Amino acid sequence: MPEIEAPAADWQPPAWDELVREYSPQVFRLAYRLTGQRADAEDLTQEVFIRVFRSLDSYQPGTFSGWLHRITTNLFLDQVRRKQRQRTSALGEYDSDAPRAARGDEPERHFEMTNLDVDIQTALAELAPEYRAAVVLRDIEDLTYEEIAEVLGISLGTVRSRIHRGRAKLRTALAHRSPSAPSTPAAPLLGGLAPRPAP
Amino acid sequence: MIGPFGHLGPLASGLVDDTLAPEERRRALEHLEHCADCDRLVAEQRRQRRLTATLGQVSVPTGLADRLLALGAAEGAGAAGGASVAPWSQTPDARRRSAGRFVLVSAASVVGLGVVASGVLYGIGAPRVRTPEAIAQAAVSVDATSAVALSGATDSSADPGAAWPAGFSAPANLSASALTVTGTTASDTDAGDIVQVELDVDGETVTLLESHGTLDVDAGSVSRSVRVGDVEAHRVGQWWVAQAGTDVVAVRGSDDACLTVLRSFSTSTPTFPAAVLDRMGAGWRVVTGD
Repeated sequence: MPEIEAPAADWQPPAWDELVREYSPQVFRLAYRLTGQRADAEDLTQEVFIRVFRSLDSYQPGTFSGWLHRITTNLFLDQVRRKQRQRTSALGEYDSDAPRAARGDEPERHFEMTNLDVDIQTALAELAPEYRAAVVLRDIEDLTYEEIAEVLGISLGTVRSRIHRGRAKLRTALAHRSPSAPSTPAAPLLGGLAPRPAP
Repeated sequence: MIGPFGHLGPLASGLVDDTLAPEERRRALEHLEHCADCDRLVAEQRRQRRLTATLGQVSVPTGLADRLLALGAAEGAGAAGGASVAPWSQTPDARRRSAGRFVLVSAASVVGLGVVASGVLYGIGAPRVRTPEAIAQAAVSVDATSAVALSGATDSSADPGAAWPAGFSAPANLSASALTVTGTTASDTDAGDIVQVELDVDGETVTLLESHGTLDVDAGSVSRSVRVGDVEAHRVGQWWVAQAGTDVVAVRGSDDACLTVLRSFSTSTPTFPAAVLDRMGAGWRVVTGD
């Protein structure tokens, strides 16, 4: 994410519309990679900006993008944990994931499914949220291990471990994309064009 | 230092991302010279990093920036640096439906649904903090026979806001050719009254419950929260619930129809806009668990 340069002495919070125009696409992109759903990503983006709006006056100059990464990722993880708590305590009537599964025909779902990288996004969405956050921050957002440790509030060793395990699980889920994966035989589709066996 | 069992383990990702200390890196590379397993592991980590990084750009939803700008307008321009921000009233409203989409639904069908009665109010309980679950459960646990019509309840073929019982937040900009409003009151006066409305929105039936009180979303099993106009709508089970001024409104029907109805409460909020962010903050607490 680009930075808004801010000298410490006479620093003033950026104008709200400047902040929204500059950062909302980046926040939405991260939110989408974390949540895996456009509707959820939009909701999360909105929550992030509510937090930003309320905290802007108390914000100390520094890296805006780091701040936004931290808010977005932690709101996402808090949301996941809250849903997990609900799932374990509810009787099932209000399973928060059920409506999502039933909305496969909504436009944004169609958008996702028609993209060529849908299998990567799907594999990412199936990762445990903590692993997913680490991998997204490293491999998509290009944060350093130190920055990820600060965003997630974990040690460098834990960052390394989560990234390692996250990538390994993705690798397993995406084994079909491996160069050594067996390709689909073409002969049945080619019919009569298949070479004849040697006599 | 080499990882557990004499292999790299998580150090493989550190090697791929070039985050190892010089001595650590030297030892790791040395280990790879004679360990095919770790060499393969590092190659796989590197390949997966490249593959994940190929994920394409994400298109940003139309109108997202406008909706976010409106957040700033809610507490007045200048609070965050004072720029040109869109007022709430200018929030894009592409889904607003045309006039005449609401048509009459018979009063009999309202009673037939048996939506509201005193039993509901016991279920909701006093004081008047309404949880989404309680509002939602109101639809299934009531005894219609104890319902008593409010004096303000009426059938109307004109403005539904005018037909709304006095004292309740009414929808605004709800162009309606006709509407049935049936209010009921409970024998338990502490619990207050509930308005029930059944609408036909472009052929889709929408059942609406409205009650005085404050929506307590912290305790709710909210599966989704979205903004429609000026209100935050929360999905709970089969219901969409929202705070409309001093009242809690719950609607059931298709998502599109429900959100259209809730949107019509936007400008009728008497305490708007000062209270809007507070309510959104409550929604935020749902997410964060604060």
